[in-house]
Amino acid sequence: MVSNLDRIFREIGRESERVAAEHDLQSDELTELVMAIVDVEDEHSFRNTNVKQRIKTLIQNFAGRMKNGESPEADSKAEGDGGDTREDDR
Amino acid sequence: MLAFRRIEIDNFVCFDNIVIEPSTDLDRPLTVIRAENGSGKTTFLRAVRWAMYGEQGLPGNFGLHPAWWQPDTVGVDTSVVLEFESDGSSRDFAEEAGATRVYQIVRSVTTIPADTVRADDRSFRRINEKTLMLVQNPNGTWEPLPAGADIIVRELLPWNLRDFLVMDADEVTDFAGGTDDHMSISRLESLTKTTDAIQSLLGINVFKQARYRLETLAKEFGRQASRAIGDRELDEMQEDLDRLHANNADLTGRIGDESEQQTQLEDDLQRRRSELEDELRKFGAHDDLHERLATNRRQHKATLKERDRNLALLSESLETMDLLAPLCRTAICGTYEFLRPLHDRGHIPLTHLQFVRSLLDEGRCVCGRDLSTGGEHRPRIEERIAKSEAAESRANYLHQLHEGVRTLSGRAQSSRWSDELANQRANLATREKELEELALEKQEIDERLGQIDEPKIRVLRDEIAAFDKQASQSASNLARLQLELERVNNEITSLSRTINQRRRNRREAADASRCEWVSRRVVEMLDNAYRTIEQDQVRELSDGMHRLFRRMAANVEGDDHDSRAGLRMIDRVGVQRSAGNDDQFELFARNSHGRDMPPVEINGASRRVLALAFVLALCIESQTRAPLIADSLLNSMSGPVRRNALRVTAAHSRQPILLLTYADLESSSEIETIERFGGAAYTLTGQWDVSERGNHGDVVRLTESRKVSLLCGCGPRQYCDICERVGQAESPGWTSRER
Repeated sequence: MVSNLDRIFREIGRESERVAAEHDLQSDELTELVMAIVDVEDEHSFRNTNVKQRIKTLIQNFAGRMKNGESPEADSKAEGDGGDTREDDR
Repeated sequence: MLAFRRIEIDNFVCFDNIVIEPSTDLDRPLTVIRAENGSGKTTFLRAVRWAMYGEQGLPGNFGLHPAWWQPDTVGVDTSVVLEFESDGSSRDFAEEAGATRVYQIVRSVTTIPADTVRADDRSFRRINEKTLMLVQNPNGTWEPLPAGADIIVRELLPWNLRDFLVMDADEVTDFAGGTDDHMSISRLESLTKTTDAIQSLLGINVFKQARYRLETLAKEFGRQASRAIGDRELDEMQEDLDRLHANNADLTGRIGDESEQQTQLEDDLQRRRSELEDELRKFGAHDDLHERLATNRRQHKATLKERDRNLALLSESLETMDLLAPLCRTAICGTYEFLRPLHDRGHIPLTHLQFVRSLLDEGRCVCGRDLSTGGEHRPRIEERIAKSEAAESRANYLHQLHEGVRTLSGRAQSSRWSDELANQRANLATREKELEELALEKQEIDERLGQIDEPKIRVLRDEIAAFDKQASQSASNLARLQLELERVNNEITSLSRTINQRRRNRREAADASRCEWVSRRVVEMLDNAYRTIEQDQVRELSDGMHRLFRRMAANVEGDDHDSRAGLRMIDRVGVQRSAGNDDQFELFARNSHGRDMPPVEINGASRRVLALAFVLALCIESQTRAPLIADSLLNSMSGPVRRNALRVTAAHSRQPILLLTYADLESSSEIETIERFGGAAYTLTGQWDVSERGNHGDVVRLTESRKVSLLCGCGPRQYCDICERVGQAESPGWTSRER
C-alpha cells in the first residue's frame, strides 16, 4: 500500500505537465502512465507479479499511442535518422 | 486508511480470552489500555503482531502458549482475531477502489510438547498454524479472500510499517539511537531503519524500484532498437522493388493491351469466320451449282447429239427408198401378191433349194420321210436339186425380187410409215424439250452463280488467315508477357517479404526507440519527483517533526537529572541526510550552538520524544492514516513532556491505542486529554499482582486463580472488582465501576 499518494500524484502531475509541454504530449496520459507504473511496482512489493513485463507493456502501449500522432518529436527522436519517408508515404 | 475494530485474543501467554474494541471515532480516536508494568502490555502488543505477521512478528523462541498450560499430549490452541477496516487498497476489489471494507485475520496454532528425552524438559513446538483472511460482505456475512492472507497482510499491513502500526516504544527509539537499555543498536542499523521508514511512507522506495526497473527497460529497448536498425541495404532493396513494381505495371499494361488486341482479333476473326461461313454456305451452293452446270452441259450436249441423230434418222428415212414404197404401193403390192404364191409353192426354188439342201443335211424331210443316204427318197430329191441348180440364177433373181417386194410391201403400209415418222418426230420433240429445260436450268444456275462473290470469299479467307496468324502471334506474345509477369511477381513477392521483414525490424527498432524514449522520460520524471519528494517533503517532514517535538517539549521546567542533554538543550530536531552516505537518512538533534548531538549525548526521554515526534510527523506528512498501538510510549518522560506527548499523539494519530501505566496518567492534564480524545478505555490486571500483604498498588482480590491477565472496561480513574488496587478506593478522583 503506497502511502503519500496525494503528494506523489501531485509531484508526478507537475512533472507530467512539464514533460508534456516540452514534447507535445498529453499530460493526463503521462500522469496516468507513471502512476500506473508506481502502482504496479507497489503491488509487486507484497505480491509476486510479472512486474517487468507489466511495466514494459504499459510503456509499449503508451509508445504505441504516441506513434499514432501524439508526438512527432518523439517519433523523430525514435526514428533517429528522420524516419523512412518512403514508408511514411506508403 | 486503516483502523482496528476488534482484537480478540485466546490462550496467548497471559491472556485467557480478551476482546478489545478500539475506538474508531474520528473525533475521539484515543483508546487507552491501562496496565501496570507486568500486566501484559507487551504481551498484548506481541499478540497483535503475531496475528499480523506470524512467527516473524515474535522475538526468537517466544512461547505464546498460556502460562498456565502444562505440556500434554493434547496440546493447547492459541488464536488471535484481528478485525480491521481498510479503504479498498486491496487489488482484489479493484473495481471498488476507495470503498471501505472490513477484514479479519484469524491466526491460530496448536502448541504441543516437543519430543523430549528428559521428563522435566518443558520444550514445546507449534503445529497446525493457520491463517485465515476473511472479508465481510455487505450483508454482514464473512467469506475467505481469494488471495492468501499473507498477500493481503503484506499489502494492507506492510512489514516495513510495523513500527508505525504496533509500536514498542523501546524499539521505536531505535530511530533515535536506541534506549538507555538498548543503546547497542548500531548507527548503521539506526540509519537503515530510519531510511526504510521514510522511503516506505513517502513512497520513495517504490520510486526507486520503478526508476531502477525503467532504467533497465530503457537500456533493453535501446539495445533492441540498435539490433533491429541499421540496414543499409534496405534502401537499395527498396529501389529494386520500385523498379520491379514499375516493370510489373508496364507488363500489366502491355498484357492488357495485348489481351485487348487479342480480344479484338478474336472478334474480327469470329466476324470474318461468320462472314466466311455465310459465304461458304453460298459457296457450297456455288460448288453444287457448278456441278449442276457441268451436268447440265453434259446433258445438253448429249441431248443435242441425240436430237441431231434423230434429225439425221428422220432425214435419212426421208432419203431412203422407203419413201418410194408408199408411192408404188399398188405395184409393189401387186408384184408381191404375184410372187408370193410362187414362193410359197416353192416356185422360187433358190430358197427352196437351200431349204431342201438343209433337209438333206438333216436327213429328214418335213413330211417326215427319211432323206438319209441310202434312202429311197433321197435320190429323187437330189435329182430335183440338180435340175433346179440350172435355174439357180433365175431363181435367185426371182428370190431377190420376191424379197424386195415383200419388204417394200411391208413398208408400203402407210400406218407404219406414219408411226415411224411420228415416232421420230416425237423423239425429236422430246429432245427439243429436254434442251429447252436444260437451257432454263442453266439460266437458273447462271443467275445463282452470279450471286456468289468469289473474290470476297478469297478476301475473307485471306483475312482469316491473316487474323489467325496475328492471333497466334498475339497469343504467343501474351504467353511470353505473362511468363515474364509471373517471374517479376515472384521477385516482387520475395523482395517484398525481405523488405517487410526488415521494415518490421525497422518498425521494431522505431517502436523500441520510442519505448526507450518514453522510459527515459519516465525515469526523468521519477527522478525529479523523487528528488522533490526526497528534498522538499523530507524537509517538510523535518519541519513537522521539529514542530511536534517542540510541542512535546514545551513547558519543560527543568532538565532531567541526567548528565545527558535534556529537551531544553535541544534547539532543533529533524531529519537529514546521513553524513557520508547520501542515500540514507537520520534523525538529528542540534543544540543551540548548531552542533548535532549524537544519541549518546541525549537522554532516554529525549530520544523517546524524538522518535515519537518522528513517527507522528512521518504519518502526518505521508498521510498514513493507520492505528498506532504503542506500549510504554510515555516511559521515562517527565510530567509536562508526558502530558504533551499524550496530547500530541492523541491529536495527530488516526487511531492511537496506547498501553499506559497508572503513572502515565497520574495528572489531571492527562485525564483531560483522555476525556477530550478518548473513545474507549480498558484495564488489564494481572492476577499475579494479587498480594496477601495488601501493599499499595497490589490487586485487591483474586478473580482467577490461574496466572492470567484479565480485562475490564475501567477507564483511567475507575476500578472494579477485577482491577481494583489497594489505595484506589480512597484516592480522590477514582470511582468504582459496576461490571
